[in-house]
Amino acid sequence: MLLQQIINGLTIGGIYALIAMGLALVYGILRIIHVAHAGVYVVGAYIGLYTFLITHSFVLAALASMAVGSLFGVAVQKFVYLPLLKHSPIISLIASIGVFIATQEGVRLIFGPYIKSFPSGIFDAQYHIGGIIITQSQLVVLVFSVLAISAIWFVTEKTKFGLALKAVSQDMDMAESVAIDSKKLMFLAFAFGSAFAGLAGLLVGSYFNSVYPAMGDVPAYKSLAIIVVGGMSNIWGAFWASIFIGVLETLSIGVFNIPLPRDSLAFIFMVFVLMFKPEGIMGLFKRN
Amino acid sequence: MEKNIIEIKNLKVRYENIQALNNATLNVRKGECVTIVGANGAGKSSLLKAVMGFNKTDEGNIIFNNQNIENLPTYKRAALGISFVPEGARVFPKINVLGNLLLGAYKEKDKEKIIERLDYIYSLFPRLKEREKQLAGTLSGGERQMLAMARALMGKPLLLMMDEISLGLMPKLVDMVFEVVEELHKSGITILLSEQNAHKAAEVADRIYILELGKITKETDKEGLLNDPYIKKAYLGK
Repeated sequence: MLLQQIINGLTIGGIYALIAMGLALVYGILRIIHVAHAGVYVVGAYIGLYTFLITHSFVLAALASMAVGSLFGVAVQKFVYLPLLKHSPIISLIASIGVFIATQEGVRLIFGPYIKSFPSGIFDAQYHIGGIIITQSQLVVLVFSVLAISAIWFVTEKTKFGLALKAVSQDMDMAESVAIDSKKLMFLAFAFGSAFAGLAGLLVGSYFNSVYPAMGDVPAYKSLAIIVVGGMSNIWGAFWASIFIGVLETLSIGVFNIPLPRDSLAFIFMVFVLMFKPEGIMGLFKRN
Repeated sequence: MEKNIIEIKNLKVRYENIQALNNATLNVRKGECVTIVGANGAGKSSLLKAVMGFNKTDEGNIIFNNQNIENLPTYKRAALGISFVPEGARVFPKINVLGNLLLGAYKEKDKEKIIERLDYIYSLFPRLKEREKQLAGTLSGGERQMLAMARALMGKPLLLMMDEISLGLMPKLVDMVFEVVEELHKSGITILLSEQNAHKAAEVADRIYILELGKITKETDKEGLLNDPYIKKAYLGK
């Protein structure tokens, strides 16, 4: 039972990580709370679902979600955030909330207000390993999450692009003074982070077999709690916080029967972290 | 006479109501070490930041290697061969020493050349080799200053600009940092330095500009600086 719930928690945590790591990346570079990231997630879910319905290929659906997610994220950066950079970050935050609401409403107008599902029976298989049951949809989520997070790790930790991303997020002027084109890098960072939010939309849609316009509501605020817990701009902090919160939620409800709404736990944990370690669980230096 | 690496003509920089630079004009020739001496607030940092593209210029020209650069973004100026060591070092604190150095050579694609430059840097600053894996934010002030200089050198600059490199350092470290500047100068690197410490400026510079209230008021050489009665009174405390 405990191990089963841990596996379930890791599955959810992996999805949270795909959303939150992109959010942390964007925050690190632009210092903007990118609420519209959850809009990218919704768009990714719909694009993935329709691509799957047309092609019957989950890999193509994943690639389409990532590609359209990237384009959407880059468009938000270019047409909303860049023109607002000279103003207070609050203005960008309000604009971001506006973009998120507009995206959900746009999706509602185009695809309708009702829940859409994947064809029945595609991910119904179950695998029994010891006493644990892993569903096929869970396996799909786990495999894609591991692949995506490995890709994020490789790009951010092992490439010149990753090093430049860190430099820009720490001191943009000095990054430019070593010949890094920070605007081009911001563009690439948005494309990269948004691709994984798009993929997360598809994975959640397939895991719960439901895609609907308001599906971004919970990730919009929960991913904020996760990056606060992880240390705001620290993408590996966001990763560990996602995994921890995913497992915490599943164990609290499934094993310990804690009578609290599942979605409140991330915020309770965030308050706890802010009280005792305000720089986040992996924040290396205290925030000013 | 060597050709000019950089020519700054009638440069004006304004921060809201303050005229930080007012028709500042100077030049640095290839291989020279030129120092800008001035009191706090004279406009030394504003001048170097304007050359790097951190400050917007209102008027005037900056000609680097026969090219007008005043409208270029910072990263393009860096790619042309200008490196900058800012006041307070400003290393990337959450990246290790090696990562900071590699960022200095961001535009270089040839791995062999990067390794050669790293070897050269470690011969100049052996302490950085020992601290290679350490996060830059955990280094001491002196080590950070060394790292900022080393990072700037990794780009193999045509012009190395350094802003108040002695500020906040212990006297022993100041001597060490200026020994490195002297060595770089001897190796043929063109240097533009801003400094409040006129004694130190005189030790390393071929030519010295005095900057007062945003204007270049005097150009002199080492002897001139040390023998000028006004400079002696204003900057050397004699």
